[in-house]
Amino acid sequence: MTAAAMTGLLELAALSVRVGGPEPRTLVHGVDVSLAPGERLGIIGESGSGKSLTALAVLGLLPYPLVAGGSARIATPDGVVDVVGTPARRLDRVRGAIVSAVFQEPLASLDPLMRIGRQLEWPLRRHRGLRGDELRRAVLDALAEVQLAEPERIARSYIHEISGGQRQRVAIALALAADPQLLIADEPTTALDVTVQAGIIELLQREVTDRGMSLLFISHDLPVLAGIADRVLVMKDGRQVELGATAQILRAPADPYTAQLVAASRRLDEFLPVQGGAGAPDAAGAPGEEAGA
Amino acid sequence: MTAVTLPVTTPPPARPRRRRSVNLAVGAVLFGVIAVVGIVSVFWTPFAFDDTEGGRLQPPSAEHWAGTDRLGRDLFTQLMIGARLALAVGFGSVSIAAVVGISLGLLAAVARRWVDDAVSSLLDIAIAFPTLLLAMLIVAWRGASLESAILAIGLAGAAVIARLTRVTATRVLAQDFVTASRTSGTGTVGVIRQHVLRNVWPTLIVPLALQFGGAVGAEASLSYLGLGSPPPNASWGRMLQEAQSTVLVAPTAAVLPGILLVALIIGVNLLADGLRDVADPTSRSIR
Amino acid sequence: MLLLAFALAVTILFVVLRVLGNPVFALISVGATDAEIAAAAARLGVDRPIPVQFAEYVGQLLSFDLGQSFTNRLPVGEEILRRLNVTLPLTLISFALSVLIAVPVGFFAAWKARTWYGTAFSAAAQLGGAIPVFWVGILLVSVLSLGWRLFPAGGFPRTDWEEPGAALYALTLPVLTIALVAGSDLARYVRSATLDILGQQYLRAARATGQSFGTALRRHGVRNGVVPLISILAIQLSTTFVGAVIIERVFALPGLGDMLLVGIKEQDFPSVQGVLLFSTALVLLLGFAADIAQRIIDPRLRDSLSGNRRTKALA
Repeated sequence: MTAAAMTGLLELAALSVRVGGPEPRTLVHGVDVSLAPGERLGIIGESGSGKSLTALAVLGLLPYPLVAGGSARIATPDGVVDVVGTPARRLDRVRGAIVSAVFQEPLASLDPLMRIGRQLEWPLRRHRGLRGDELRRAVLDALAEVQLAEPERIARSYIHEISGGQRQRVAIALALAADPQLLIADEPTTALDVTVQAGIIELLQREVTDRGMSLLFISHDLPVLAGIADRVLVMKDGRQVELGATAQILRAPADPYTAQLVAASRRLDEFLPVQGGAGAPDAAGAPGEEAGA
Repeated sequence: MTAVTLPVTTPPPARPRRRRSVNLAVGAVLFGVIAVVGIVSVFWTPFAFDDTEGGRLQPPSAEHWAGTDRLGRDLFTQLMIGARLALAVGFGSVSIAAVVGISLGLLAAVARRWVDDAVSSLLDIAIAFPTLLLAMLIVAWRGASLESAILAIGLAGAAVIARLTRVTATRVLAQDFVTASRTSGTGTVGVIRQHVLRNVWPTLIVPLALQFGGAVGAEASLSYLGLGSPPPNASWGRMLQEAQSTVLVAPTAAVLPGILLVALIIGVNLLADGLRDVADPTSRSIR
Repeated sequence: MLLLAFALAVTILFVVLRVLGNPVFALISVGATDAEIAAAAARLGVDRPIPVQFAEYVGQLLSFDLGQSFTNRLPVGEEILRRLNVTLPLTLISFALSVLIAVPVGFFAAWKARTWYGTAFSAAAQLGGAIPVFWVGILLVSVLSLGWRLFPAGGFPRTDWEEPGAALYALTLPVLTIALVAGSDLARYVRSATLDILGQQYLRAARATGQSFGTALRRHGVRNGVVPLISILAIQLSTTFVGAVIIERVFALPGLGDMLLVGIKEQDFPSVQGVLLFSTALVLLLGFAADIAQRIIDPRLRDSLSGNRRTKALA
C-alpha cells in the first residue's frame, strides 16, 4: 500500500486477474483508469471480455482460484485502501459503506428464503446504526425511494413473489442502503424485459446524481451505456482497448474494434423508423420508446 | 463506413480435460480385474468348492493362496466364486431396476394426471423405504436365495429409476420436436420409441451404474445376516459372517472378502463418476 | 397422504406375508396329515376367506394389537417396545454422531474443494460410504475388543438401562461403527450442498453490502443449504435404523433387528410383520416430518399444488 496521495475516488493501475494452478491463465491483462467522485464510467465489451471480472476484482470478491494483480486503490475516510492484497476483514468495512454493487440477475442475487424487509435490515443496521422502529421505517423509506409502490407489502414478501423489475429495485435499495460513494452496476438491466430496463436506468441515474456518487456501469449494450456514462472503457479479451469521453468514442473511435462496436450499434438503430440521430451523447438510453417503470 | 461487420467473438479457451481420465481409469481397472476373476471362476478355480482336504483355518500358503476357512475349504476359490456372485447380483438387479423402472417411469409420464399422481406417490414411498428392509420382506416370503436377493434389490432400485425416468421423459415430451412428431401423426408408442427413449437413457447411465455398487453392498449385508444365497454360492458377505468368530486366529478370512467388497464397490462408483465426467463435463464432480 | 401411504404399506405386508407366504407350515412338521394341516390352519385362522382375515387384521392394528409370536406366544407389541430399549438409543446416538462427523467433514471438503487436502477429505468420505457397515464392525471388534480389550465384543447387559453406564459401554462400538459409515455417506451430501451454496450469487451480493464471509454464510447460506439436506437427513435416519438392524447381529444385541432376523428364520410371521410395520411407520413419519420442516423453511414450497412437485425435485 503506497502512501501516494490519490486525486480521485478509484484508481486502477495494471489491474489484472489471473488463475493459478497447473495451467495458469491471465483473464484480465491490466486495466488502467481512474474515477473521480461523481464521475460515471462505463465499461463495455462482449461476453468474455473480462469486464465483470474487473468489477469483482475492484470489490475484492473474485472467486477462488482467481487472483487479482496490480492495484485497485480506493479513497476512504480512513485512508487509501488497495483492494489487491488487503485482507478480507478490512475490505468488509469498505464494501457496502464505500463501494457497493448491483448485479445482473436479481433472482440469484437475493436470498430466496428471507423476507425482503429483513434482507434490507442488515446494511441499515450495520452501517447506519439503526434499531427497532427507526430501522423498520428506514427499510420502508429505502423501498419507497427506489419507487416501489406498497413498501409494506414488499417488505413482507419473498423475492419470488415480486416481478423482475421490482427485484432489481430491491437490489438497488440494498446497494444504496449504506450510502456508498461508488456504485458498481454489472449489467443491471440485461436480465430484464426491455420495457422495464429504461425505468431501472432512470432510477440509477437519479440516485447517482442525487447522492453525488460515482458510478461504474458495465454493459455489452452501447446505447444503454452511452446514455448514462461520461467516459467509456472498451474491453476485449481481457484487455483495455480504448478509454475516452463518451462523445469522443462515439464520434471518432480510435481503435478499430471500438469502431466496429459503434457501427454495429448504429446499424441496429437504423431499423427503428422513428428515432433519428441514435448514438448521440444525450440520447435517452435504450432504443425503446416509452419508458415504463 | 462501407463494409460493416459485427464484432467477432473469440471462443473461450478450451477447458483442461485431464481430470476426467483418473476416475474412469482407476474405476475401470478395479472393476475389470474383479470381473475377470469372476468370469474365470466359471471355468476354473484352484480347488472345488467343497474340497475340505486343506485343513482348517490354514494361513495363506503356496497351495492355498488365501488359506482355508473353518471347514477346510480353500478361500481363494471362494473369493473367486464370490466375485462371480457379486457380478451376477450387480448386473441382475440393475437389469431389473432398469426394465421395471423405465417402464413405470414412462407409464407415469404418458398417462393421465391421476395415474401419474398415484404412481408418483407410490414411488415416493418406495424410495423412502430402506432397500434392506424390502429385501428382508421378500426373503421372508420366498426364502433365502440368489434370486430373491436380486429381485428384492432390483425392485428397490427400480423406484429411483422410475422417478428419474418420469421426470426426464416428461421434460422430453414437452419439447417442440415431440409436438411436431405428434402433429405429423406419430402415436404415443412411436413417439416413445423414436424420441423419448433416446433422450432419456443418457440420464440413467450414471444412476444405474451407482446402483450396481449399492446392490453388491446390499447383497453382502443380506448374506452376512444369513438371508442370502446358501452354499455352494460363496458370497463375500457370508464368508465374513463365517470368519467373524475366528477372526483372531485366521485374520485373512475376515479381511480379504471385505477388501474385495470395498474394491468392487469403489471401482464401480469411480466408473460411474468417470462416466458422468465424460457425459456431462459441466457437472460438479470435476471441481 | 401419510395415511394413504401407511394403508398401502399395511396392505402390501398383509398380502405378502399372509397370502403368499404360508404361515401354516411354520407350525407343522414335514409329513403332516391333511387333518393336521387343517387343524393348524384353523388355529391360525388362515382357513377363513381372505377379506375376513384382512378385516380382522386391520381391526387388530387399529387397536394396536399386533398379535402374538408364533414361537413363544408373547404379545408382539410388548416385545417390540422392550427391544426398542436397545435399538432406539443405538439408532439415535449413532445418528447424532454421524451428523457431528458429516457436517464438518463435508463442509471442509467443499470449502477447500480445489486443494489437495479438500479432495482427500472428499475421497475419504466416498471410501467410508462404500465400506459395508458390518465389515467395519468386525474389524473394530477384532482390534478394539478382542485384540486390545477396550470394549466388550458384544451383548447387552441384562440389567438393561438400570445401569446406564454398562449399557452405554456395550453400545459404544456399535455406535461408533454405524456413525463412521453413515457419517461418511452423509458427508458427501453435505459437501454437495455446501458446494452448491458457496457458488450462489446471493452470497456474493450479500458480501457486497459489507457482510463478512462468515456473516453471509450464517445469515443466508445455512438456511438455504439446509433445505435439501432435510430430506437427506430423514433418509439417513432410516438408513441408520437399518444399519442398527445389521449391527445388532455383529454385536449380538437384543434389539429389533435381532427380533426381525430370528423371526424370519423361524417363520414367526407376527413378529416379522410387527417389526416391518413399525419400521414402515417410522420411515413414513420421518418423511412426512421432513416434508413439513422443508415447507416451514422454504416459502417457495408452501403452495401445496406446486409444493409437492418442488419437494420431489429438491429431494
